[in-house]
Amino acid sequence: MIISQEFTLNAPRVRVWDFFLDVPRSSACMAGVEDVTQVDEKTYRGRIQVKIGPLRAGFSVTVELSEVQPPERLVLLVQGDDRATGSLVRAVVSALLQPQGGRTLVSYQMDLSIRGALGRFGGTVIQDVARKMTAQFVECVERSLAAPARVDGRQDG
Amino acid sequence: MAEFAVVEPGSVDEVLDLLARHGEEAKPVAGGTWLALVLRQGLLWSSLLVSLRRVPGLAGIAVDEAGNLRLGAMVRLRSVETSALVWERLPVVAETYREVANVRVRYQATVGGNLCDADYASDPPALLAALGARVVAVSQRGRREIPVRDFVVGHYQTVLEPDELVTEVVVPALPPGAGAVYLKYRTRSHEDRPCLGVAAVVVPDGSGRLARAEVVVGAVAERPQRLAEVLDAVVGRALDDATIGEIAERYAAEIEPLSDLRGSAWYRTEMIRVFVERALRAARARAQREGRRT
Repeated sequence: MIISQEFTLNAPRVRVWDFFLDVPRSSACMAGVEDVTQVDEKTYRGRIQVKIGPLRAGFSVTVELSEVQPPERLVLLVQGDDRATGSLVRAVVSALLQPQGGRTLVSYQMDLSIRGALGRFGGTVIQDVARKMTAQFVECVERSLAAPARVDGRQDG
Repeated sequence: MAEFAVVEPGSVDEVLDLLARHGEEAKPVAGGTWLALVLRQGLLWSSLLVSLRRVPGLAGIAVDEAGNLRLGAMVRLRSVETSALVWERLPVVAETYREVANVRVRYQATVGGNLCDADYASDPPALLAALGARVVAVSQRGRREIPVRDFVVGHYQTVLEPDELVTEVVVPALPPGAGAVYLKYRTRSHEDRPCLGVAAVVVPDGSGRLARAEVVVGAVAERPQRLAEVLDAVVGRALDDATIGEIAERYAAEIEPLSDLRGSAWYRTEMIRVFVERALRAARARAQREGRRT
């Protein structure tokens, strides 16, 4: 299943890029993500809780930054499993950041496959959940970027 | 599958006590067709299943003094489909429950359970919403009636609190001369869930104009879709093909459908236009027959 979406963030591209690559901060904007730890330079581990009404699944997830072209293109390989439901998830997420005046257009494409109990719910509910999680993520990123940036002596743009 | 206890209380009061004490950990079980599935798959966790099977008073079908059809929460879908009382009072309700899944499922699944599992791809919710039906929910804190229209708020999510139990669904009688219909559109097999379903009610005012129209489209979004502005705008208009076409056009234009194995969003938009029109024409034909009879 391929999910494509785009959203515009009210911040220059370099700031958005730095934020995305600051994994502890950016992952904190993903609803349900917890216990994020860095394994090596390119790999992170964590857990994600997916909640759909009364239904729940919790995945142990590994995220690999498989392509990093600052400040434009980022490809992630996400793999996870949920022991309780016997579900497996695998996703390749590619994101493209394009400057738009002082703003940034982020387009992402996610090639998602889910096997096991959660997968049997079909694409519909999963897509809706992805859409909602993206909306929350965007809102949170907006909020985080609106907060005063860390002073690191670099110019945005 | 995780461990859980099953209890079979003998009264509504006992059920309410259990729900109040155990909160979200307890889940009432009606027919269990949906719950057994998600429990087995590990998607739903509950430490206490509260079976409603021995609770008396939840499986009745009756018409009250005000003419409302009252369906108990534990009434099997098959019982609605075969009830002489339902066929006499509100045949469209029997017709709609007859369309759900297959006869084996309908012998097991219940009226209350079907509403509470809040699956988007279901037939009865759209019809019940179009008819102005209400869900009766009770808890130790009291009793409330929730319009079916407002009952589902998201995928598998209703407005019910964990301590509330649905005891019945109240369906008002149609006004004299009204016509009501539910059209189910399947894209795969006959037993399948709907790609979409349209419930339409037209109430003529006696001079060929619309006193009220209700159109609810099910299975195209996370909850049944009813466009109040469109329905308000056609009150007083002639019940002709132009009005019907306009309602269908606006429903197609304004609903943002989801995509699934039964149809893409684009396809659903096209089919909403087709089936809203067909449903309204069928409802009008029924209203005309009613008009001749009275």
